[in-house]
Formats: sequence, structure tokens, C-alpha cells
Amino acid sequence: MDEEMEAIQKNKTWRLTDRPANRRVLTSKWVYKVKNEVDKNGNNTTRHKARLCFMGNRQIKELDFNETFAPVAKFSTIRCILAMAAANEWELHQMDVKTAFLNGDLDEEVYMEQPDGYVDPTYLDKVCRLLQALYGLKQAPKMWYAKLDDFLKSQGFDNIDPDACLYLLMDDDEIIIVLVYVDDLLLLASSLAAIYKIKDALHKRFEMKDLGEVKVILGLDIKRDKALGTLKLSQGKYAAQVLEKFWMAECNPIETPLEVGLQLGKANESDDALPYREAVGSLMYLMVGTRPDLAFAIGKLSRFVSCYGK
Amino acid sequence: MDKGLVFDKNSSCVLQGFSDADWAGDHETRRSTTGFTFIFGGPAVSWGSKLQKTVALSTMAAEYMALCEASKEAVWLNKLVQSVASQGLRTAISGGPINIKVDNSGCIDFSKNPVEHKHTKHIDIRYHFVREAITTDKVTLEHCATDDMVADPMTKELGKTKHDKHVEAMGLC
Repeated sequence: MDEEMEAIQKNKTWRLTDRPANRRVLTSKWVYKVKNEVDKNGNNTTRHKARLCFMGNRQIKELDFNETFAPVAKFSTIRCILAMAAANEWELHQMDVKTAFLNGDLDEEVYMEQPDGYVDPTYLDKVCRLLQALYGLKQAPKMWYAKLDDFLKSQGFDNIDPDACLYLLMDDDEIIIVLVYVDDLLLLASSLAAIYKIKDALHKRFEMKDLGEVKVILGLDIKRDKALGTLKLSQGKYAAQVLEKFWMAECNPIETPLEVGLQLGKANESDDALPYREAVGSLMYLMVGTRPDLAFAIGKLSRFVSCYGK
Repeated sequence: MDKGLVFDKNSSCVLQGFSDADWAGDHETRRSTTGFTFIFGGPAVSWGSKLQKTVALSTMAAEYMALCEASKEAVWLNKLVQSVASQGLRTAISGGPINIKVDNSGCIDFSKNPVEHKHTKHIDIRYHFVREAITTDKVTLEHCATDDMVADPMTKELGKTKHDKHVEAMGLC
């Protein structure tokens, strides 16, 4: 909790002011999470995380926020870029921005009560006027994207038109690509020196966590064999978890996703006890990530999400 | 379970598209299924399988709807790859139009020369879209045998032999 408050104070997220007469004052709440992570040395560690969340669900459109859209990279973009990385033997690294959303500048006027456990004893009556974004704030993702966009452009990067999350820089015949997925950054470059250069620049500007060579991006495992020049993108661990979750880990494997000529009929009423929608949703993520062979089967199954039965 | 897409530096860095349809595959509504796959640097990088929104009256019309979807994706993918490649790469990436393979020759002929004009509006619009993609050198069409149609598994369930063959072509291993 103290770590989070420190980050918030460092960013000058808010300033204490008198309670405004004609504006709503919203509240915040602490959210706790236990996170399992793999550290730099490959060891599994557990971290307890506390995050101060703004109650964005009480925000009113046009009063407390306007635009909320923030782009995310498409899977097709990631795969195309990886194909080029494999073909050209580019270096692939990954970084993560700590408390990314706290970096966004707020344009709108938003007030918040002082957070639980951190009320200033000398100014009990004052409220926080937000100057920067907080997690939970509706416009936080958009503001963070705008900030990062500004920074990358100031470093000479160009935004690639077909995907708003792809940035490219040519520097002395070196190509550097940054792919943005909210606070996850995928860095690609033709040399390690170029990777370090952009890492340095990012470190200077934001609180960053260097994850080294990329191993996992958006739940997709990346395995690289530099000697063979191959790069494998898979979701084996995720697939196993899905089977586990739906009690199918012990099922006998079959050879194709669906039988030829299989006809599915609609049930009159959905059996809510069956986690059908959850199962289709989980498989969907597998399909859009790395498994084109499942596309048709999942398309067919998802026509029945409102009328499934045994 | 550990299957995944394998990119290989020795594979061709030319986008290759496949477009296919299964006419009236949905028995309840008799709507057709669109399927497309794009291969790049070894495996599939983009794919789609979708039940068409309207009922197609012929295989050709169904294929045409699919081709329109595939062309849209081709234009986007080409733009993406070109905008990175044009900045200078060590290995050249061909800058020309994207080749899309189709297994219905009627569909290819129609996109080059509309022989019949009694089409409904939704086919007409798609005709103009595909036609424009061809005349502006964004897309070229080529015929391929149904057995070599990599987008086949996107449109219907297949038997093991065929399924495995296409899985391999999609670079899944």
C-alpha cells in the first residue's frame, strides 16, 4: 500500500482543495491482489499488490469524462511483426510500465475523497482534486495512451497507419519497432545496442520494469531457437488450464475439432448450470491467439450461446 | 496441446491469401460460411471463419462474399507489412499485390468480367470492392484445387487426413 501511495505522491496525482460546492466528490477504494510472477532468474515469486482504484462506475458522461477510447494492438499485427522478426533475426525484448495509468494527465475536473487510511489529519475536510489519472478512472487508458504516444513521437518514432499501437523508427540503418499493449511494450530492433538505447530513453521518462528477452506476450508463449532461426508462438499452458477449468483434463484426445456432418440443435431453454459460455469464451481466446484450426468449430459452437443444453 | 505457430527465417516473406466458402452450410438458416487464411513467414498470421449475414443463392455468390472479406483483410495486412518493410529491411519483402487463392473458377471469372447483371445489391457492392482491389493492384486472384485450399478448415468440419494436411500448411506444429 505504501508503495502505491509513494508512486501516487511522486506523480503528484492530486492536490488537496476545499470541497467544491457544485461538483460531485467521488470515492476510491483499495484493491488487493496476490500475484504469481516469474522473476529475472526464472524463479516463481509471489507478490502482494495493493492498488488504489477510483470508483469510475459512478462517473457521469460529459460531466466527469468525455472520450475513453484507447487502441490496443491486434493479434494479426503481433503475428506479422513476429514473422518479420524471425525472418530478419531481430532482437525481441519486453518491458512493462509500472503504474502506467498514473502517468496520464487529466483534462477534466474530477474530485475525490481522500483515500482510506491516508487521510491528512490536518485537513480532514479537504478533498482531492485529481490532476493525473488513477486506476478505475474511465478516461485513464486513453490518457495513458496519449502520454506514451507523445513520448514515442518526441523520440522520433512514427505511428504506423494500419495499427495505432505500432511505432517505428529508422536510426542509422537500424530499425526499431515498439508495439504497445496498454502497459506492455514489445521492443524489436535489428541490434541489441538499439534495444538498449530505447530502453534507456524509456527508463528516463517512466517507471519501467525490464523483462529482458520476450517470453510471454498477452498470454502467448514465445519460444525462440536462434540457431535454427525459428520462433514458436503457442498457448500450451493456457490450453491445459482451460481443460482443467472445465474438468476435461482427463478426457481422451480426439483427432479433429468437430465430426464431419455434425448437426447441432438448439435447446429450448439454456441450462444455466453448464459453464457453456465460459468454455466457448476460453476457447475463443485460444483460437484468436494461436489456433486457426479451431476457428470453424468455435464459430459453430458460439451460435448456441443463448440456447445450450446437454 | 502444445501446438503453436512456427515462424521460420527460411520461409518466404510473401503474404499468401486463401479464400473459401461453404455454400448453405448452416442447415437451419441455409446461410453460407466465409473462411480465409493468410500465410506469412511460415505460418498463418491472420484467419477468419464467419457465418455470412445473408443467404447466398449460388456457390459463386457465397465464394464472392468470402472473397470480399479476404480482400479487405489483404489490403490491411499489405499496408501493415509494407509500411514496416518500406522503411528498409535486410531481406526484401515483395511490394506487389497480394495473391489470393480461390477454388471456384466462376468466382474468379466473375471478378474479372461480370457476365450477368441480374445481381442483388449486396453482391453488386462486393463486386465493386473486389474489382477495385484488383484494378488498383492490391490483390491478384489465382485458382487452386480444393485439396490445396488452406482456408477449407475455416468453412466446414473436415476428416482427419484433410484436416491434418491443412493444419500443417498453416504452420501449426
